[in-house]
Amino acid sequence: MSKNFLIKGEAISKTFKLRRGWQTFFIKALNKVSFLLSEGRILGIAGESGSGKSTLAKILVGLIKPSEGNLIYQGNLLEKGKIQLIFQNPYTSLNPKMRIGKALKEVLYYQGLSSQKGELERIFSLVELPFSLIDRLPSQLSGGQCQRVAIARALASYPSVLILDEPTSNLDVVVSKKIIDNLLRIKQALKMNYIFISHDLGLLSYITEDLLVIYKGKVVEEGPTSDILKKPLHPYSQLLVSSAKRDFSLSLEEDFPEEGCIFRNRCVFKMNICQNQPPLFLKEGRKVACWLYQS
Amino acid sequence: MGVILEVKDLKLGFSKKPVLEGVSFNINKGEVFSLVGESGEGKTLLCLSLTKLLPRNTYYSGEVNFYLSDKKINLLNLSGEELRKFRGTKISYIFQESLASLNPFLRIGYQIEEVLIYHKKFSKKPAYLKSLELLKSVGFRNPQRVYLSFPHQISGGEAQRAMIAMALASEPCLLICDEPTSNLDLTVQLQILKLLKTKQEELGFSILFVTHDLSLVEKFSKKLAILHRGRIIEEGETENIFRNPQTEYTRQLLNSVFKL
Amino acid sequence: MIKRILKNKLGLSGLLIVLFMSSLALLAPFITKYEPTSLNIEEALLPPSSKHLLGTDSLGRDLFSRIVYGARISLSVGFVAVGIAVIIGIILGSIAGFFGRVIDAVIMRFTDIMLCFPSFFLILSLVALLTKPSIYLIMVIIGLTSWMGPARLIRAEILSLKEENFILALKILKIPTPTIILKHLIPNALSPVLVNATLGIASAILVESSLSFLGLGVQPPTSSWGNILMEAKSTLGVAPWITFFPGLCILLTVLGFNLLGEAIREELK
Repeated sequence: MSKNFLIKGEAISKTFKLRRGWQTFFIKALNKVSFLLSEGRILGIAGESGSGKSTLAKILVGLIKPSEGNLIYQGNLLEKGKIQLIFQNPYTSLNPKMRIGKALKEVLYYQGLSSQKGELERIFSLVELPFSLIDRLPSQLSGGQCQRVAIARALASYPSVLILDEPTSNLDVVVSKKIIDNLLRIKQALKMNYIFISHDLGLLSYITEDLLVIYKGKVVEEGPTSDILKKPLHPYSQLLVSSAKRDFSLSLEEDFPEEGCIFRNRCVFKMNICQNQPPLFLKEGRKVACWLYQS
Repeated sequence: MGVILEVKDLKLGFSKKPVLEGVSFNINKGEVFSLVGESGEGKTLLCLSLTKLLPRNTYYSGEVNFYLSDKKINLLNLSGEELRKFRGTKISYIFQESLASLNPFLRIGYQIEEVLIYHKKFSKKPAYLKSLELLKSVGFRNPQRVYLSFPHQISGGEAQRAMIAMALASEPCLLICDEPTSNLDLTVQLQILKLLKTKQEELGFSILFVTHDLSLVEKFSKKLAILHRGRIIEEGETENIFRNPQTEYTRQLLNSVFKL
Repeated sequence: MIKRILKNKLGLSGLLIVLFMSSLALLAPFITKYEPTSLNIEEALLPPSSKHLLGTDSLGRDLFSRIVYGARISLSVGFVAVGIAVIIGIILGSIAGFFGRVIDAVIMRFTDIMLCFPSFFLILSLVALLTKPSIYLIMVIIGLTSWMGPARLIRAEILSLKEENFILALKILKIPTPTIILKHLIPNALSPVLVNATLGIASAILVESSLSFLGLGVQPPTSSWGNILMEAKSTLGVAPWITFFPGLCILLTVLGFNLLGEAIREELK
């Protein structure tokens, strides 16, 4: 049953310390998040703003250290820079004063690889960018082209895993689809592994095989993507799916409590037991953090 | 049902670059009309041009006819003073960046009262009560809290709802929404759309909903127009366009939407 | 960017003045008939004429040559002193901004201490301590007392740029830290320093002129606009042109750099 895993996270938590004047606030961005990236299967993380997904992305690539929990990588993936991150805003992820050809050559150089024209041409064709753009500055490119450059730059370091944090949220619909299809082709060609972080359930259903639904730093549901989206069990997952389907027949509430089930004040199924934080229950081949599914 | 806004052959652009090259469409009374186009197509400029809110170096031509109690008025022919009778009263706006549309130094409640006092000639106390009522009607369970808040103290979704309250304060005939949900979370998007739909059914005003997100449009509006390269390339009932797109670009748009 | 500055009328004037003065200085040997130090007492205190374009001073030296060679002094002090200040400022500012915490605190407190000294008096004291102030020492001293502005500007830019996505991306790509600082952070942080430097050149020229006017800067017979003014003090009533022309040059040059600096600042907004 144990396939090759690339990244395994066990009860990852992250608390930030914020100082406002003489007061210190603690913000718990992630609360005991566990996940598994298996080789060959695309993992999706569904969450809205405040869910902690960007914090998780930064922990995965080693920019931030988790406060608690274990992060296990296969081999030396992290030290060797084999895990790369694609950001949401394509323009701010590139040096505005550096021509894109030079930026790519820099990465190749520090990886100890040749930056011959052939190698650059190969990378450009992988991300389906015309080679003529090589001397442009990011400001001279469209959003979609910039994002392709960001992907090309990541590919220049020959990564094993690409983490994509809302890669197409700032782009138009037609361009987004093209880039996503391109990423699928790259997966085939290079046997690349992806973790997609997005609030766009349609995108996640199109491209991911396993899904993690996160709300305010806690995993509320986990399992195969198609199962969750076809029949969401946790009330928050149900809310997300209905929102994605633009179903107007729902009613929504406002507040989030500190203890117990994080979703209970917005939940239509609220019960007394929801005062306590539910663990992840196993149901229908997936895990759900909801007392409704207590066996 | 009659027409409330008639746009005839609207051309618009900057000295070196044409943006709109002859746009025509009609919005009926009490109708929700969506305009879909990708970014950079000139959607925002189009919204602003309807009440002549154009930057200095733009040229324009064509007609924007607003129908008010059987009178047809070409808004593009009016002067600034005359336009003020329409902007913010009969025709209201909601923009994408709600936090940027609010004055950061004034409390939300005060900004809503401004609309009531200036456009509806309310006096202080009635304006205060009405603004609380409006905040309640857009779904705030604690309108006092929002009334006293400054824009930076509320979330994006809350700010958008406050904007809707402000826009509805003047009892408009036409509400122009320029990508109001694009920066919001998925679940909050649903809240805002639901609020707009409820209010529209309750008060009967027309909505011009401008967006790049085709998936929003399907269940939200009856009529739809697709803007591409400065022209309306397709227009009609939403259902028909989705089922039977007539142009290549529309087909491409429909195919690119990730369906659940 | 240069094109846009050219469109701004004031910036264009500033640029033209700076270019004009610089060419005067560069072409000095080719445009002057007389040596700036050659005495000719018989031709002393002559008003401007076709023979001596701007007249002569009390020792019969051609004023035009003295001023043109003086331009060399003033401009080179301006550029070099600011160059030194900017380099020190970039080094200290970027280290403080990038590494933060203790290093930042130490460097910033040192900067604060330096800022406490009224700069001109600090320069005066340092120069007075030296027995023979040479032009190079003056450049260095001005540079060593004006690096604080660029340092703070670079530090502020780097503090905010540090968290930008493209810097984070470079860290994830395992690009070495020195490369990140030198090739990515600093080039993007230079804009405010450019404005500061341009205005700083104007200021350095004024400082050098003041020092020379007080007799503590460039010593005669080498001519500097400041020391021409010093020597002209005694003959102000008789030969006002000796005071007027160097003064006008200082005015124009400082004005030119200020206009240029303002135009760059407007451009970068």
